Amino acid sequence: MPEVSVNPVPFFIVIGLYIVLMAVIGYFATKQTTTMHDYFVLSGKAGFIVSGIAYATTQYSMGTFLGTPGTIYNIGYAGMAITSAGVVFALIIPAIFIGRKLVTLGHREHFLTLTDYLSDRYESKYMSGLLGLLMVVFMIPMMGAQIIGAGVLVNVFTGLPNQVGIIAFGIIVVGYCMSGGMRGAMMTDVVQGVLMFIAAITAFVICLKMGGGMSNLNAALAASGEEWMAFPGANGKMPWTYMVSNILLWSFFTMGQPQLFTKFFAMKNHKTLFRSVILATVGMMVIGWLINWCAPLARPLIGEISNSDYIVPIILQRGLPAVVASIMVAGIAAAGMSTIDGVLVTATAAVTRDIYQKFINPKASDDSVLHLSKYVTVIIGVIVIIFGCLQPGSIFTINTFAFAGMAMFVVPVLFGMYWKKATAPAAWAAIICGDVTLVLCTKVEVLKNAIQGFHAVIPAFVVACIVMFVVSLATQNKAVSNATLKRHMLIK
Amino acid sequence: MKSHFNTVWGIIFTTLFVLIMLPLPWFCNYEYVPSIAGIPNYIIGWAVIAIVTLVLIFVWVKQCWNRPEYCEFDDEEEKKEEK
Repeated sequence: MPEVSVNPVPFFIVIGLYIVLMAVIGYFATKQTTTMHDYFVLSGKAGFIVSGIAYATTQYSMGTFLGTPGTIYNIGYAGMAITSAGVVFALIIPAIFIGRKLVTLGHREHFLTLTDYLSDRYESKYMSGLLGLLMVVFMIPMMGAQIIGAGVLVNVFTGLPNQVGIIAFGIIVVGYCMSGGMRGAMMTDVVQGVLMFIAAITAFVICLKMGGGMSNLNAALAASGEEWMAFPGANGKMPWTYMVSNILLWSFFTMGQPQLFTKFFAMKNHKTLFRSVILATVGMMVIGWLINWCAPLARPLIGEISNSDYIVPIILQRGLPAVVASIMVAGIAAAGMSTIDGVLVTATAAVTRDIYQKFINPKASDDSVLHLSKYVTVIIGVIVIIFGCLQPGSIFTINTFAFAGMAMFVVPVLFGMYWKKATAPAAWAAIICGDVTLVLCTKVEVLKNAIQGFHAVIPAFVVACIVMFVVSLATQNKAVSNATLKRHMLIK
Repeated sequence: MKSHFNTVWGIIFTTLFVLIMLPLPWFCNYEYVPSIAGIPNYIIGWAVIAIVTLVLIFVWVKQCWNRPEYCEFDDEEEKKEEK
């Protein structure tokens, strides 16, 4: 990594202190976690600061600080469409369409997970097993992408192999999630959210300062070619179709993400939801806009680099004293850790509650599930660490694919909430057909070309909706009872 | 929970959401049109939509605040505190 001079001492000191802080928070969370409801959704008692920050930090990941700015760095200003254009809708759209109902249902029906909700709505216990399995399949790469980023950071700032960072960060996150569950995850999210916020503002200010202001930087970038300032970007990778795909993917499709869905069940009441919408939206806007903006602004300052994923660490490293840069890097590490912890607790719930308690051993007590959850967290954590060490792709690619895979859950969620005729066989068929279409449109060259620059999640969603509609009409003999519909549609 | 109030707000936010995705030059421009400090015009377009949406979120929250359907669990909390 020739762009960055390596001085590991400040990095180790700051990261060491950061780890101690996370361990202390994890310890206190452990002492307050006594039941399964506590472990998975804080017993529905999370306040707005914790809920809002946890929602934002779980959605924003290592990709926000490494993969996305790296991608934008090669596109130019148009690349900011990946998250900046639609970030203001990232929580208000889910809140309007599903959030208000989920807070009510979470309290009345004591749901803990997305599959709790879906298997109850569709009166199908088999749905738990299938969805639990699919969730784990997509959540492992999602966590893997974060942990690969941790390896990159350690490598950039210490010169140590990526595997050192991957293993060390993996052990820390597994440790506080295993002991503190959702409470540990959400409490550490607050500290991590503050660090991410500061890191984004700092990186943006440094860019402006190093480049002599916005006007100078934009003039220099425009002089190198107007393609850096307009669509479809310098490398042609951001046509309008891809912009639309990204806006939908990072806002509308978040409604299908189990780790974000669960946050609504943890909220104390509707007022918590409303305050969280404001807090999380402002936080995500500041972080999303500023960190993305750094990428085009940095191009006239930094020039060509060996790996564009390193652009934000390079800006921080060049523009700040070593200790301060290390604190900011802790902010980037925090982005990854806060995503892993939220996903890890949700993946654990998918295995222990959705697959084990509901499918394999229905007689298992809540206490035994809580006990089992701690071991499952460790096992999933080890698989994620191995995935990270294997590094099968770039952070942006893995993260986007995993996010898109789970986005298909949005179809049975929305149909189930707003259409009385939706049935369980249709929900199964929609998810499977949607995910198969996603894989085909990602991997098969002919289909890839046929979708005209849209992300594969768009045709996959269209296919899933059609399948849901047609199969529901064809399987009305499996329609759910009126009592269930009344509970789920909040009909008095 | 289906009500005129929720439907209207759903339409307002969905309209803004769809608006920003339209291939209009204020949101997706294939030519460089500089605005303040040389920033491309579509960035300003996104910022305007973001600010308008944020203001409307504040208004929505304010209007939701005391609606009975959103106070159901407040009462539960208050009862517990009274005990």
